[in-house]
Parts: sequence; C-alpha cells; structure tokens
Amino acid sequence: MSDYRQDPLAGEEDLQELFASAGRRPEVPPEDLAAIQAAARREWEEVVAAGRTRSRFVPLALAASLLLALTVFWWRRTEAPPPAPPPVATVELVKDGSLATKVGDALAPGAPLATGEDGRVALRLAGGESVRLDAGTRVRLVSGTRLDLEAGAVYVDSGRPAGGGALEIRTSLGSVREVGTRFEVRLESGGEVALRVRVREGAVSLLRRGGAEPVAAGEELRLRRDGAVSRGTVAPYGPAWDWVTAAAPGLDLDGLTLRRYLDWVSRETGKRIRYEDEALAGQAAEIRLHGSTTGMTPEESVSVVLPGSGLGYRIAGGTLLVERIRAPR
Amino acid sequence: MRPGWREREDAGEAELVRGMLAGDEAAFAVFSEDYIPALYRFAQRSLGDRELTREIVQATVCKAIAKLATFRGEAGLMTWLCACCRNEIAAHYRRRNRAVREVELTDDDMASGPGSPGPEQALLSRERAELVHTALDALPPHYSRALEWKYLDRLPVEEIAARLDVRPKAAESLLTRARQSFRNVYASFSRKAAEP
Repeated sequence: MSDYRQDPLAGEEDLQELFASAGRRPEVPPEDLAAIQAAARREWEEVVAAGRTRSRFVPLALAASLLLALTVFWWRRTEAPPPAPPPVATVELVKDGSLATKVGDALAPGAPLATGEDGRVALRLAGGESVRLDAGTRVRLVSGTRLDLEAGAVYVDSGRPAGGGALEIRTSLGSVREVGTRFEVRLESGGEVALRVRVREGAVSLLRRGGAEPVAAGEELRLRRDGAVSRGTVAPYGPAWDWVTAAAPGLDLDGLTLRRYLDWVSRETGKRIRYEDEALAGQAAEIRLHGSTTGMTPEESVSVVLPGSGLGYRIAGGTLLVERIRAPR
Repeated sequence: MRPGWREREDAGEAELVRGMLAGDEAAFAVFSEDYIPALYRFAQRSLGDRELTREIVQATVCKAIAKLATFRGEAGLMTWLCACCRNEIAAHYRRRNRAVREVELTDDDMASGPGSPGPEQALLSRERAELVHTALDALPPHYSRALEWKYLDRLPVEEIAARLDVRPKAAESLLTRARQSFRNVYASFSRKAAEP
C-alpha cells in the first residue's frame, strides 16, 4: 500500500508535508453545531442543577441514618447555598416590553439574553464596557470578558484606548477580539454574508480557523458563507449606527460640564464636535449642566441641552458645529 | 493572565469533566466548542448523511452529559465520546431493523478500499487526509489546534504562544507533546487501516 504507513512522520518536514496535503478538517455546518450546542447546554444545566440538589440531600440522608442507629442525637446538617457568583453585567436600558429583564438587573455568568423583533438592550459589563444588543439578538454572557453571540448584533464600546482590550465576542463563525474600542458584530440570518464586523474606532481582530483577520477603524469586514472575506469602508456616523444610538442609555448630567456632555454625544453619534471659536470651546468647559438625558437619544438630547445652555448648533455630515445664538436683526 | 482550560496542561480531561459537573461555564465552553465539532466530524465520517449525523451527535452529546459523572478519565474524553457515539449509531440501525454497521475510529470504508475508480494517487491522498483529520480529532483539542496553527497556518512559535497566552518555551513544549501524540495516534490508525 502507500509508503506513509511505513515511516510516515520521520521528521519535521514530513509532518509539514502531511498536514499540507491533508488540508483543514471539514467545517461543521454552523446551524447543526449551534443546535447541538444548545441541546448540550440545556442538558448540562439540568445535570448541574440536579447535582446541586443531590448534594443537599445526601447529608440529610446520612443524618437520618445516624439518628436511627444511635437514637441519641438528632443532627441535621444544612448546607448553606453556594455563594452566588459575582454579576458580569448590569442592565442599563431596556426597550423591549416582552423582556423580563429590567433596568438595574445584575446578570450572572452564563446568563442568556434575547431581544424581541423590536427590542433593544444596553448593558454595562463588570469591566466597564458598554454593550448594546440590537433587535432579534441572542447572546450568552459567559463571563465578564466573553460574550457568545448566537444571532443578531452587538455593539461594544470598551471605553479603553487601543491595546487595552480583553473582551471577546464569540460566534459560530469565529471570535472577534477587541483590540479597542468601539465596534459592531452582526450575524446575518440570510444572504451571502454570514458575519459582519464594523469598527467605529480602534481595532478588532476576527479569529477563525485559518488565522486572524484584523479590522481597523472605519472598516467593515464581511465573512461570506463560503468562507471568503471581503472588506469595505464604514463611516463612524450614519444609518449603520442608528440602532446603537437608539439603544444608548441616558446620561446623568448633574454637575457635568457641557464639554464632557458633548464628548459623550460625539462618542455615541460618531460625529465630530466643532466649536464656533476657541472662546466658545473654553466656555463649554465651564458650563455646568443639570438633569438627565434619559428617554432621549443622544441626538435628541442635543436639541434640548444646547438651547438650554444658550447655544445653537448645526449638523453637517459628520460634524456637529456648536455656535452662539445670534439675536435676529 | 491565567491561561484558560484549553491551555492548562495541568488540567486533564478528568478535571475538565469535574469542572463541568460543578457548573463551571469555562469548562462547558471547552467541551462545547472543542469536543462537539470533533465528535460531529467523527460521526459524519461514519454516517455520511448530514441530517442523521446531527440527530445522532445531539443524542450522543446529551446522553454523555447525563452520565458525565461516570467518566473516570481512564480513557480520553474524545475516545469515551466516540464510544458513546458508536453505541448511538448501533442503536439507530437496530431501531431501523437494519444490519448494524461497524463503526471504527478510522474510516473502514476508505481504508479497506472501496474499489472506486480513479487514479491510485488520488485515492491515497484522500485516505491520508482522512487519517490526518481523524487523528487530529482524536487528540486533545488544544494539541490539534496548536498543530494546525503550526503546520497549516505556519504561525511562528511566538504567535502560537501569544494565542495560548503562555511563554514561547511552554508553547514549544506543548508542540513537542502534540507532535508526539499525533505521531502515535496517526501510526495506530494507519496500522488499523492497513489491516485486511
């Protein structure tokens, strides 16, 4: 038969050649894998829950035996419930009437979360990252540094400079590792493109079989169902990010300077803030605000906060120009 | 940073199973992401049919998890799962009143030579690829991943170390062990495939 069965792997080069000729192992169809993994999780959760129940009953049974044998002591051992694991995220905004989750809820590791067709949710991870879920999204918060995306889209604002990231978004098609700082990962349910990664600021890396695909700010990576990758550009503002802006939690303005507030608007909308002149920029750092933007999108809040501060504004493309209100002639 | 389950050489498969039984999410993630795909490929090599593969693997995985407490770590976890899968396949064929098909860890149909037409070289290449893939699936997942990074992606050891979150020396040691395990498993499967 063939020679490889006699002395197939004598050296490093033989191994290299063998792997090269064999190629990669076949991919498991993502739908099949997701279905099996979901069934496995359900079974596992049941097994773990049953194990915990049993561990409480075993000491009780021992105590009963002891009681019968000695008839001297009545002893009962009660186990304190295991301490709850620290939460990995807190819910900051819920725009979905069908969800049991409400603002302020702390989410435990492994918590599944799904938004309805019109729902959106904003979370704050324990590490400080802001995570938003678009409509029709299913995720599992595996830990404070890992989120499994099963359907839909998530947006992450890590609030960290490039290079400081540790958050990983896993999908059945690959993992997106944050290099910093704001990006969207979207699993498409139909069409040729299976996965989109859009980076608004900083950079991320898509890790999949075959290596890493870095995605830089202003770039959109599209992973097709056949495994091919294509790239395009994406502006930091515009319709692609509308859902992210709509899912932004409100900002507590009390004591905040106007400049800090406008920095937040810039971060949320992707628009650059410009001031009419240097003097106005300096003034913005002095003006203190009060109230909250809760119930408004960042863009809507601008139309309230700036006039309330005696200022006007204009939006042109990706720029929000802050200007003085001039008295009509 | 502390390496995860995948990279912890000290954390054997018995410990992984104990972690799962204790409700450790990270341990379950390793099982779900590393072992299930390998088991799927194993079943698909034996069954061919995608629908049936999915059905059998799902049943296997659920039953294996239900009796996870009986796993003692004497055999590898993948070997144990494959044995469970073989039982499931046999039960499936029994239910269908069909002859029970022998399912081996290597692909007997290919190894015994189906007599299909075509150049011998193409057949040998397919055999070889199947054996390599089967051997990789039989290894502990972090070994097969490291080998693929090294020999398919041609990543330098430093990059592999970075991905494993270990020092380059530790990555080199892991690669050495992975190579040796692969050689052993591949040789064993090759011998088995060559048997009449």
